[in-house]
Amino acid sequence: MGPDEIIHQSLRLRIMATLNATPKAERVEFPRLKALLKATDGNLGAHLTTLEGAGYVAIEKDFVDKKPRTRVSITAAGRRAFDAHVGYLRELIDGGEPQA
Amino acid sequence: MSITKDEASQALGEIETARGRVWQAKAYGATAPFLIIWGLVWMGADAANQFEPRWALAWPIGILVGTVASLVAGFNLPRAPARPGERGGSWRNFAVWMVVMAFIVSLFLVIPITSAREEHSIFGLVFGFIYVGMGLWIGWRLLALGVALAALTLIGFYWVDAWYSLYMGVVSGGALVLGGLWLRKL
Repeated sequence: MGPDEIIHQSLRLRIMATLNATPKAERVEFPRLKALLKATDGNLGAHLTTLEGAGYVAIEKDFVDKKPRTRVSITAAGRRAFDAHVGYLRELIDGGEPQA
Repeated sequence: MSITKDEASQALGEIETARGRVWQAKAYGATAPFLIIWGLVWMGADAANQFEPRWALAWPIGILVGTVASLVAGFNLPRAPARPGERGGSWRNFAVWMVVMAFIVSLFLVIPITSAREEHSIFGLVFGFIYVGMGLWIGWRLLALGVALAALTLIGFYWVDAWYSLYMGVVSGGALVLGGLWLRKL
């Protein structure tokens, strides 16, 4: 299996690592994710859209006390893809030739 | 798309950093309620002592309220955060704080305390340095809070006279409350 081109981009990799480290079914609010990743609104939003398009994250928007709220979670497909990508990276470092 | 070993190593490093930040945020989040609870207890009990010095029940009541509130907060927390690869242990966290309290009580039994001012300052210093120690493991925010608490306690001990109790309540207790709110922001 080769590298996952969608996940490998630096910020997307960190987004996936952050969401993957949160407990199953836990959704992370956008401002918290932004603070954890030290990212800007626009940059984070654009990369989340890419990950959502690939089916790796789910984005939920609603209103709480009339204020908009955006929450992000990793999907089952996202966890599988992330684990596979990490496996590929480890295999590469361990000296084996990852299978293409 | 091809990835070199260096790029793979860098990517794994980024993943570990991201995981570490999630763990840190959870540890901060788990610590914050207790700082806020005990900061409020400190503020209330010391304000009561300032304006009614003969009322000796302020701190015993405060400790009772703080302990009950801490237990409730502890039960309502998500599972105690563990570093990636480590086992959590909420009962151990509770036990550590009991050990700290036992240490302070033992200290008072051995060292002659001649004033409430000394007693208060020892509490402020012990907890300040505990937060410094925790900060070395968890993150700089907790370390900064511990340094601030210890420094404010020493400033109060040496330079604040008539309003010492109120100072400790507002400044040191307030530092804990603000520190707790600050930790929750990550």
